Amino acid sequence: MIEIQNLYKEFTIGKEKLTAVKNLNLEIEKGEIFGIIGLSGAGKSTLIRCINRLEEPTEGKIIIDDVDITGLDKEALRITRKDIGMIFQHFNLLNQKNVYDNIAFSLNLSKMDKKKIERRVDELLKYVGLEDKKYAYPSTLSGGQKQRVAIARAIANNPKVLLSDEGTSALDPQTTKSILSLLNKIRKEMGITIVMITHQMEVVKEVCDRAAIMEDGEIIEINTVENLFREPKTKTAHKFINSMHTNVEEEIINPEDFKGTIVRLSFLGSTAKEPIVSQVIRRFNININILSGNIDKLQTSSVGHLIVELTGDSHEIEKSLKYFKNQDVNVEVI
Amino acid sequence: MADLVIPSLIETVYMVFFSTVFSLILGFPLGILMVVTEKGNIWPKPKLNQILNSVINVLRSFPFLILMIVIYPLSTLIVGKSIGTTATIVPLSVAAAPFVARIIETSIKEVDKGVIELSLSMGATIPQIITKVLIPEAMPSIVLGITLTIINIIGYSAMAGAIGGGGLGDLAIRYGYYRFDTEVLIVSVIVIIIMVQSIQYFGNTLSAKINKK
Repeated sequence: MIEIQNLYKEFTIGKEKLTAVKNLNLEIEKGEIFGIIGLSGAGKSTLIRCINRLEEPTEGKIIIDDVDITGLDKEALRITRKDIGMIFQHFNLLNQKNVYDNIAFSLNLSKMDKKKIERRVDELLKYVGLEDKKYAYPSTLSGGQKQRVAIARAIANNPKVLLSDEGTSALDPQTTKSILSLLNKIRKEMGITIVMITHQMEVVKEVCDRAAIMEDGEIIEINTVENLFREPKTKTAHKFINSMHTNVEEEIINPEDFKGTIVRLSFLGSTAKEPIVSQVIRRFNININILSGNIDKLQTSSVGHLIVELTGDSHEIEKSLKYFKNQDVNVEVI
Repeated sequence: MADLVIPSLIETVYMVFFSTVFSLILGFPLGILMVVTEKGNIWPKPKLNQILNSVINVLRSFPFLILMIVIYPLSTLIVGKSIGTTATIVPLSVAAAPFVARIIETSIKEVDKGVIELSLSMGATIPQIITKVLIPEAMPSIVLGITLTIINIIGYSAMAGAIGGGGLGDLAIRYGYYRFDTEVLIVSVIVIIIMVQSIQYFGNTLSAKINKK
């Protein structure tokens, strides 16, 4: 659906050159919700803005539905952009226009028939749950309502792709959830491919199918969200996952304070339902002391994390760790 | 008194009204062009931008009285004479146009960059962005700018009166200054003050009323 090949983006600030995106390759499937997560300055915003060429790539190709976006001239690009909706962190609503006119904006640009526009806008208002705000002005809306208007506007033209540039970053956790579930509904019912830029792991966890972690203009890790949570490979991925938990265990639990071996166990879906820990205690001559635990509910399954201290004979500990691994539990010695 | 002041008031209103209209016709597009041709904006033309900028600066640095004299031939060409209320509309419009351009430029620049970006992402053309986004979003600010322009033109028109333009300024100078008729002077000034006050009040009210932000 979306193919990004060898993408480079350089900025020149004064005499200094800054590479925001470095040789980036990425493929996003049709109908997928794909998350790109990174800290600020990682280049994720530049990357998403390259997709519809709000930012001109310095080098590389972007192909959407077999159309080489990077090869289009200005006029062709303008027309292609109608197939790529976009929402923003600060909503970017027209302040002097009411909700109706904001949603009708893209339809008006396409010079659609007035009656058709009215029908479509009413349909969209209902879809995003803002029928009673039809004639309200943005200044009277809450952040969540504003983003709903922006989403309705972005999907009015039935685009193939929806880009979200930190679309939930200005919202509180509860509103974020409701916006994410709206996006999920859109993906399911309209089959729109959604690419989301975010710095919040909650967003990825809540709604994404796959995610990439970006750092210094590069993708350092890419995986399904399940696997990302179960076995994060890079330090940054760990940090993002930990940042979600109220107690950042690895900061609180210092292995030197314990006599035994500190291990992080990650259970996915089916393994979470088996009493594996008690099986291990019975089978091997060790003690298990649970230090912390939590569960991340993902789109389709959930990942449980346990941090435990294992004490006993080192042979037994090793065997028990092997047993965990055989049971499809991800084991990581801290 | 009334038979002196009322015709002069009508002359002033006539001059100010048409000068405002013509200065807007000249200055409004110029102001928009100043914004969109800027580097990094929606229609970057840095050279053109520089030229326009210089022209506006040169025109704005002319003292109005000098400009009026310089423009005499143009007035003759357009309205057939260089003296009188109608003829004065030409230099008034020319003098106010660069002012309008700057006012419009400033108002349009206040529009959030985010909505321009949004319009681009939705495939809006440059004329669409100007007419459907930039101007409507800047409208409350533009109304205040036009109010300021009208008041400025009232000031200029009083000066124009001094060199044969007619209107309240002319009346004040002829009666008040040359003939020491203080009463006429005071009345003319009071009428001008009332005009300026009510225009400012009306402009502020209108701007606040249309502003939905």
